[in-house]
Amino acid sequence: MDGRENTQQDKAQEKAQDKAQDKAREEEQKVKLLRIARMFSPHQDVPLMRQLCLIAIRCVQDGGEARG
Amino acid sequence: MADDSLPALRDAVGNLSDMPALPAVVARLTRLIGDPRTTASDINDTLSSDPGLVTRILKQVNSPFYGFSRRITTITNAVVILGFTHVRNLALSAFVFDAFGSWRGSPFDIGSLWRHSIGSAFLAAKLAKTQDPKLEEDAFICGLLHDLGKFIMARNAPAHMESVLRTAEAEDILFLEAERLRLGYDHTELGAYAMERWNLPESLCRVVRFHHRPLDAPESARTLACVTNAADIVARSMLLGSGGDAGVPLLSEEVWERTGLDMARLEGIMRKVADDYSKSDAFFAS
Repeated sequence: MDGRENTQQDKAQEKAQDKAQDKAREEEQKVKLLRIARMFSPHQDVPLMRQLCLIAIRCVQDGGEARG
Repeated sequence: MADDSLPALRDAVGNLSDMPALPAVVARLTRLIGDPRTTASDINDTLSSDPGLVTRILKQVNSPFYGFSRRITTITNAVVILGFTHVRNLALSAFVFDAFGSWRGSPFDIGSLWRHSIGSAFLAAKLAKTQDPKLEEDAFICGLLHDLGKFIMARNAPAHMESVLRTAEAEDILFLEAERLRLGYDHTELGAYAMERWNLPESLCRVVRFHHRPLDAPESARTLACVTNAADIVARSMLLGSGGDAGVPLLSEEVWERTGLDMARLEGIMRKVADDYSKSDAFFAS
């Protein structure tokens, strides 16, 4: 009985940890995307720079970026 | 070098007298690469005088970054597989990392600048390859060394570095713009000056000198200067390390056209570089 309860507790704990990690990753990604947009802000009226910014944002969204 | 900035630069860095010297083995390697009679065995003989460097190069070559299915155990093998210039690039990367990239004596985040340099090198090599595969290796080293002047400033003139960083942050401007406000020289001149002192090829020194105004570069260096300029900008946009400021310089239409790329191909390159970068640990270790 105790063993089964422990397993359930472990699973619940694992799930909560995963959820917290997902949330942290999401927040981190939001910060990165905002940073990219912010870095490009003086050039937002230049079509070439706008396109470059959008591609960079896509790359980071898709997990391409590795080391900040 | 512009004559008017030379005195300010010399004042700032004490004539670079205590700047790390290019190791004799790397200097000799650089000379050999420029000689068409050089053989893989010559490269092996030269590098053999520095077993530590041989180990470093073989460690890099056998890292996941290259993904070779069998182990490369000799420099001669590495030269045959990767080419003379690539092996020189690995030797130069090891030297620059040891001399500057791993240095911990500055309020400036040197590690982040090194990551920016590596990211720019990967991007420059890929951008150049689409134009002319023969430019790939030189483009790598130009990307790697384009901000050499910032490393030297952080090490030899930390007060200047602090002043520039403070100004860039307070005024919300680029590092280069802050240098122009605060100093009588900038990192492009400082980097090129150091490379000349190391007797690196003039063509590479010119690229470093002109990487922020590539269209002013002499014609012989213009393509690589444009590639390096674009690589620097794209590396910033991908957040590969940091060049010391929070902005992205403007990529001019003319420079973009000179790279011969379209946005779809650039996106492919950026994704490939992001993947390479995630496997590049060997470039960040002594």
